[in-house]
Amino acid sequence: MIERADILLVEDNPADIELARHAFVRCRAACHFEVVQDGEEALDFLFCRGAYAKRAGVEPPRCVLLDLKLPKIDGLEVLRQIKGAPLLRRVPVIVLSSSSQASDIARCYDLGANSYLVKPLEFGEFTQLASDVSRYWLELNQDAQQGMLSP
Amino acid sequence: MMRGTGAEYLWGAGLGLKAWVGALPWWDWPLLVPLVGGGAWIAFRAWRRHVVRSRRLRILARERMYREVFEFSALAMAEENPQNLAEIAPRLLQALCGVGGWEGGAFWEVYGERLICVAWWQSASCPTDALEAFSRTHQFAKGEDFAGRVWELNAPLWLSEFAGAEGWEFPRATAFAEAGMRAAFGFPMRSGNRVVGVLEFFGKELRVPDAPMEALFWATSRQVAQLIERRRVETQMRCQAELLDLSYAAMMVWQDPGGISFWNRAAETLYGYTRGEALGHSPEDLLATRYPAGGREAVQAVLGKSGVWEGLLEHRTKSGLQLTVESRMVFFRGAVETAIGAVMESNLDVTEQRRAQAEVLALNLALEQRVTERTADLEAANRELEAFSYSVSHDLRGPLRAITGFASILEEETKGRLGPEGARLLGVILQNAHRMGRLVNDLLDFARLSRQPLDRRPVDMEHLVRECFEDLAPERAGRRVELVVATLPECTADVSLLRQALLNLLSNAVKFTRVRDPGRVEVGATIQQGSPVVYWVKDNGTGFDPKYAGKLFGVFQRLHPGDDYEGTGVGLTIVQRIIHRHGGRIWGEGVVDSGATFFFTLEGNGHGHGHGRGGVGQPGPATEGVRP
Repeated sequence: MIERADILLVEDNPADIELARHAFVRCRAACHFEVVQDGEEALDFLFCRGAYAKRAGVEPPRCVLLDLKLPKIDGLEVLRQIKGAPLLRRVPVIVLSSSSQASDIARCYDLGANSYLVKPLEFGEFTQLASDVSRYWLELNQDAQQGMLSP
Repeated sequence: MMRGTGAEYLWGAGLGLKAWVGALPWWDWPLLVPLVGGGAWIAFRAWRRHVVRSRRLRILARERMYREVFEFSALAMAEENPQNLAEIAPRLLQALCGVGGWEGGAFWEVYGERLICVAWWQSASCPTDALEAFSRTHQFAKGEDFAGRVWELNAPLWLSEFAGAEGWEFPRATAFAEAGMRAAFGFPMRSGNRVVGVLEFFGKELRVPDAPMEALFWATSRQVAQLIERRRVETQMRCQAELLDLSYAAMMVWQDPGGISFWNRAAETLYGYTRGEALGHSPEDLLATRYPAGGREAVQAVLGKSGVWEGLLEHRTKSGLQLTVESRMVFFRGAVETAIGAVMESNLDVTEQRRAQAEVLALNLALEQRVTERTADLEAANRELEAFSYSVSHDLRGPLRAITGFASILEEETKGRLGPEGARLLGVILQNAHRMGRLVNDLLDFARLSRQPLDRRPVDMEHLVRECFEDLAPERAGRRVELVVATLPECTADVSLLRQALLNLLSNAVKFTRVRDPGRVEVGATIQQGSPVVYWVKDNGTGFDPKYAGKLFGVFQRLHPGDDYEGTGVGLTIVQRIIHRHGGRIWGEGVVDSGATFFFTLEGNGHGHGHGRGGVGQPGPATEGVRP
């Protein structure tokens, strides 16, 4: 049986993936951490298509950590499709980008992002961010329950 | 001076008449024959008859003489050219003196408000040179002197024994007396009812003119007045013609049919045709006129309707040059409805002007085109900059994060096992990575400055300064740094940008006062009437060598070794960019080890500050240190 993911990280940079994995595992050892490396793979994962077809029936991740600059399909488009899909639109999407440009931030919120975080440069800050995110989105935040996903 | 010589036949004839009258008794001789041969009664009757008849004859003869004098003089005057009035006048005076039995006469003309003696005649037997000289060198106002009195009265005036007469003291009285003249007779010359001159006669005794003589004077004076008037009109017309020739506008008068009847000097100059060549031709043929839209008919329609047309015409000169003229035409209808009216046309050459205008227009268009191109270039550059900054933010920060991240993980996981040298090297890696991170962030801030639109609002400077200083608490941690803020005038600025600038300035001040305890940062403002408020930030830190003041604001320019003071060399560049975007200026003054002061304004020199509150603080920017 395939387990529900706690966090789906959409990130193409292997170094960032490893750092994120490191940071999240450090603060929450039991975290089910899934990673996809481009926008297309992310959509396949979420819509249970292609290589992820066997995930059909599994609940969507508890939250999505989304980078904006992605190969194939970019983060904004991924966000747009998530928020446009009746079965996925209640999944919290946290944009994790290195861009602090006001226009990027505004566009993400316009498309329905639930949060926007700028990747910190310091590893210490990064681990702090990871712990804050998991504390807030995985523990404090109430997600939409299974069965309530249908519109 | 002119003395009557009787040389000219016409005038001589007038004088001859008097001699003829003097010979009258010769004709009566046959009447005396019956007296010799008849009775005393008869002789008496005859004598009576003779006396009556001779008196009647004398009167008749005198009247005839007057009439003839008048006819001669009037006819002569009608023939005369009014411009020769100065020559005619003495002869006229001579003739009238002869008739009236005066010794001499003066001819006065009214010029504006003054009466001027323009001609003089005196009999050879009675020289009046001194009187003439006096008269000719004096001008009289209305009512002044004898002549002025006649002018004022506008009626004949005679006077005898004026040397002693009461109420007749006038400037020339003495001169009259000295010349032996004791009586005078004055007569106004009228045009309409306006006195244009005065005829004045004088003699040893008063000769009161009889009615026929007075009539003669009236008639003659009217003739002379007309002559004076004609001369005035002619002079005026000649002046106007001269005036038309003075004009820079080419002027012409023409009729259709009939062609050009007037052509001034400017027209000759402009078009190259002399008056002789132009007269009689239609201007349209002569100048190959090209009319504006609507053509000749449109011009004629406007002329016929309103009488005036203004517009641009194309003309060709005699030498074939094509001209553009600013034309103004006035249409004069003929006196009779059917008569052909005349057009007065005044043209100004505007060819050069129009060419210059067209050039300016073309230049403006080219300039606009260039501005558009440059703007497009600038926009492209801005887009590139945006792309670059985005790329920097994403592509440079990624690897940096990896370096710091993995170095940190390594540091944690190998704690103690790496050895002191290994730990030191790892520290160096982390330190440099952090510095590069700040550099990237600063560069991003800098790049973003140019793109962010300026949002000017009133800003409470004092509050903002204190806020920024609070934000710098981490940088001040463990140190004593005093902040002294003077009363600062409010300003109008983009708060977020101004905050950034103040943060950088204050951060600099905090950083470079590290060697002092306590560090001291002062913020103040200097207000001068008519110039923008100058804000300043002063510290008691390490200062800088004034010779490097020009390098303060360059990107990556650092005046201190990197190890002494952390920093990227972008901070002041950002401040400068922010100040410049507000239209202000920034400059710095410093002395090594004696602190630095940065001055800035938030508006150009053209604006007044318009804030009433005065600033306090001692450092005044007496001289402009550096103008970056």
